[in-house]
Amino acid sequence: MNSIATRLLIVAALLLGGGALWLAVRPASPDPMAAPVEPPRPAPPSLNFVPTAIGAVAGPDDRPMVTNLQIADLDQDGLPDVIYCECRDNTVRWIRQAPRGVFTEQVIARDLPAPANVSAADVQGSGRLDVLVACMGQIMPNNDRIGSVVVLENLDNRTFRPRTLLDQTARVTDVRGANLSGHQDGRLDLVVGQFGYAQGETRWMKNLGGWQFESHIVNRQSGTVHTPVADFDGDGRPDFAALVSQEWEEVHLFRNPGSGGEFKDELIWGSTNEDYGSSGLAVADVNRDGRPDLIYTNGDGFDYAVRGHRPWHGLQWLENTGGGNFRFHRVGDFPGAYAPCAADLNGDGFTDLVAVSCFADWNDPQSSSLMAWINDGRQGFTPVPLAHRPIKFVTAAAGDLDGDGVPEIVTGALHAFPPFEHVSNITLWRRQ
Amino acid sequence: MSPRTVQSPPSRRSAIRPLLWILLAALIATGALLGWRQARLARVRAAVPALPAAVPNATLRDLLTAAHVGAAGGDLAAVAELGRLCHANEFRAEAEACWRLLIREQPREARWHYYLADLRRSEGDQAAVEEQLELTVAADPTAAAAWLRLAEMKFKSGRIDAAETGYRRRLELLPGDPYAELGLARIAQLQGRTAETLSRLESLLQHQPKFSAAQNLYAELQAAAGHEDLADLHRWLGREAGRFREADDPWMQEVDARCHEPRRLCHLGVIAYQTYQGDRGRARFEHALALAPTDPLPAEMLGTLLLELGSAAAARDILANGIARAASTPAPLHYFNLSEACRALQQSEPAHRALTDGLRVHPDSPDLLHAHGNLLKADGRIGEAAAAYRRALEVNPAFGEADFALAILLLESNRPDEALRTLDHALGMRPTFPKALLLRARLEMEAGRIENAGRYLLPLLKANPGVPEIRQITANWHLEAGRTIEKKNPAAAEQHYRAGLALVPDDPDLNADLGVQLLIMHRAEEAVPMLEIYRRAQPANPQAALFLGQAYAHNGRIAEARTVLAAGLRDAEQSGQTKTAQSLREILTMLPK
Repeated sequence: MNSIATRLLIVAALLLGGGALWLAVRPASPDPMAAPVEPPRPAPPSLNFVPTAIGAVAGPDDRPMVTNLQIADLDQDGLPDVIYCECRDNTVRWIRQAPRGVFTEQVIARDLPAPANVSAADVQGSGRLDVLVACMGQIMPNNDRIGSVVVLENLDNRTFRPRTLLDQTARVTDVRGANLSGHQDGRLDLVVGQFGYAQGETRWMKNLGGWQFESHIVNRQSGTVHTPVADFDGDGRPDFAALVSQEWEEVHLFRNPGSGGEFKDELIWGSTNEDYGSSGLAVADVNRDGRPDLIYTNGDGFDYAVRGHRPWHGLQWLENTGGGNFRFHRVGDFPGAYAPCAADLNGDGFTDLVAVSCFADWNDPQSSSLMAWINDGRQGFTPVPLAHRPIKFVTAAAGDLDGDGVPEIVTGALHAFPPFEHVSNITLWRRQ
Repeated sequence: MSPRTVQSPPSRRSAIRPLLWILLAALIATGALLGWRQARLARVRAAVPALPAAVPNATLRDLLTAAHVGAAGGDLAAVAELGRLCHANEFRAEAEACWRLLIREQPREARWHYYLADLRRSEGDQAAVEEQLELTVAADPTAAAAWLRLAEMKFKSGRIDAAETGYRRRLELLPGDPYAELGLARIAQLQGRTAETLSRLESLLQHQPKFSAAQNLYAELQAAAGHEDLADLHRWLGREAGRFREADDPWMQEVDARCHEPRRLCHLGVIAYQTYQGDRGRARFEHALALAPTDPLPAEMLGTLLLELGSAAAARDILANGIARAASTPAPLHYFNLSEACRALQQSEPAHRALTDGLRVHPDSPDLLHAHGNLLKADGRIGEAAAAYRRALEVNPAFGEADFALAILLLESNRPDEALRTLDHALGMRPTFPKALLLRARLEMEAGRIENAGRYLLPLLKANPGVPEIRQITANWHLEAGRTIEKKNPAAAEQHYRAGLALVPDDPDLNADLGVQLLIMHRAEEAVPMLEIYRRAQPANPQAALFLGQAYAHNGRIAEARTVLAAGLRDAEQSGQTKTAQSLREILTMLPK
């Protein structure tokens, strides 16, 4: 054997062997593929909220079907009230607080076709708050054009006159008042979300005065659930967002272009999981940076043939990073999550988050129906179950109803599916 | 003599030396290799997750144990099997540990990244999902499923250009793929290129008419363009196409095939069934039932599917066994479907028993109350039947079927006003409930309020423009409405006839009535096509010949008129229709020679 070749062979073998030896005995370096290790969370802060039924009290044999509620001082007497809609009798109801701490319910509209959402707004600049009602026509899945937008015109802070502003349209799930057109006389335009079923829409309706409106459809996807309004891009004009569920599972932003321009549809976030179950979208300044963020639940289970846990159900927030750009953050898991809302629940100066559950495993007594996530001030959230019973909440709002500076939570329950137990209608939760 | 250079032969030692070096190197290499393998084994062993604690059944436990033994022995194929089993059966933490281990050991295998992406997707961890999908397509640029998911992620986070790249890459790999086409259509739509959106959707629907998401989007674009009828049609087509289904995903199918968790199998079975993969759905329900024979849910699902497929006897057996074996209370639908299966088999006593058994455990189930009401009514127990329907409506006021059944019962009991109120209640809760709309329309027509009937039929038609029965019923209504007003308002009658013919162009009566109406209005030329259709539909009807003959005659088509009238005369004489025969004779004599 040629001695040079032999030596080369030896050197190569040594290198190979040495290299392999090094590989075998090298100290373990941090594994870039290792699962991130979360630091241990502190014990969840103690929060105790005590329920009180307000409005029509549900008996054990009743099956309340509340679809939505809002805290609003409807008669502007300085005491926040609760307005809600329900689809058992197809009514809109006002739980008036007067005097403080005393709640009395009255029906302010009957025979509305499946009211799904209520909000209060002074549509015509009358100085009184009207009630905007989104009517689905039928709550359970249906693709027919049976939706409508009804405004309950506030005549004298006691009586309300229904006015149908839009009908024979894809099922309506949200309607809100907002001055999108820059009206100078107090008029408000309307933002309308239309779930439909296979087909749906999102539109805004320009207020022409005299209860005349001009519709502008800005998106034609099915499944719009909520359309919250805020100045998301910080230009001083209200914009609106839309949560589009069904097979899309997206959040869209419609920036207000100013006078004469057209709202442009921008997709700001979406899940690639077509079963994500988008169920609620609301505005809150989560990190208190002065920019409106979006809080967002996914837990819809209306369509499930097999009820039960979906691991992706939960709460998230979309951080407004300025100029209408958003960054997604998961907050936590919560089966059957609905109705995201925000308040400083423990008085530490940070925005905490709340959601309710309609479709948890109710055979498990440990399933939470009302959940809070306490903010550590750096948007690290610790989940705190607030209630396991009653069950099947589909709507909630947070606000200081008794004026003591501590927010209360109000929940509404939809008892459309078994088990028909632990029943409630409207519940006021006070912190102890 | 010159000194000779004497070369000494190489010593044995120097000849052996290289061999020793080689041997030494080989020994080192072998040792190192063994050491490396040992270290890898230790690494793998250390990273293999512990077996999940709460395994729902022995089958899954055995499979997991077998895979775990192999994995603990350092067999990466066994680790992959363990990962798939854990992933499919919702042991997410264990599955994630397997995928991370495999990624470390086999970083170029795309599937491990893809599976990890899927797990992170379930957890809502968007950044990790995207990172893993990028690694997937880097490892395997032909991974079409990953390209689609990646494109969707980019699209849904507003990175349109990157999304377009992903969709186009998917299309290169799977030409004509509807998901990529839909993605590109949506990009065009978001960027305001409406013509391109429409053309992409039209092309997509030409090849994939059952792709519901595209039908729905196309319908709304047509509505936006003011083509409401076309929009209605595509809305209906979209609805008929069924639910949206995710794109086929061979890698995830490998995972799903390893599902042995009964509830998840039921969930997968429902998805398969709802997306027209009934065989796969059935297999999953059967597997779930075999794994959990005392869990009533798989039996309910399988029985319901079999009933819908028309296998009533098999459905009855599965459902009855499910109740007999149930370790927990079966759902109301379980009893209801058992009763329906028995009914389909004409076994009224077992059908009755299934409902009473169900009502014992679910006294407030609207479905059971309604079905029980039907059986009570069939037994002539009218009062009890009405009470059952009313109780069902108390529990669920939007239960249109109960309203409808009660309305029928009230009509049969000669209480029409209450029946109308009941139907109106049904329509208040479900405005397009077809049965209530049809019955309400029929009642209006029977009461002579023909125009009113349209209030119920037209919404039904709008919601179901492609259903032949509803088109025919609405066409019949147009015929009746036209006949009712043709004397007072011929123009309105003509509109009704034409609207009816738009729905059922070959309807003989509508063609006849419109043709005759036009004849009366001296528009014989327009009448001819309708009367020709009428004559073709009823060639032995002398009246059809009479009308068509007159229309021909008025248009100067004398020879054709004579032929038709003569034939009609023969038919009239043969069938004894003397008056018609007389008319035919008179017209024939009046024809110019």
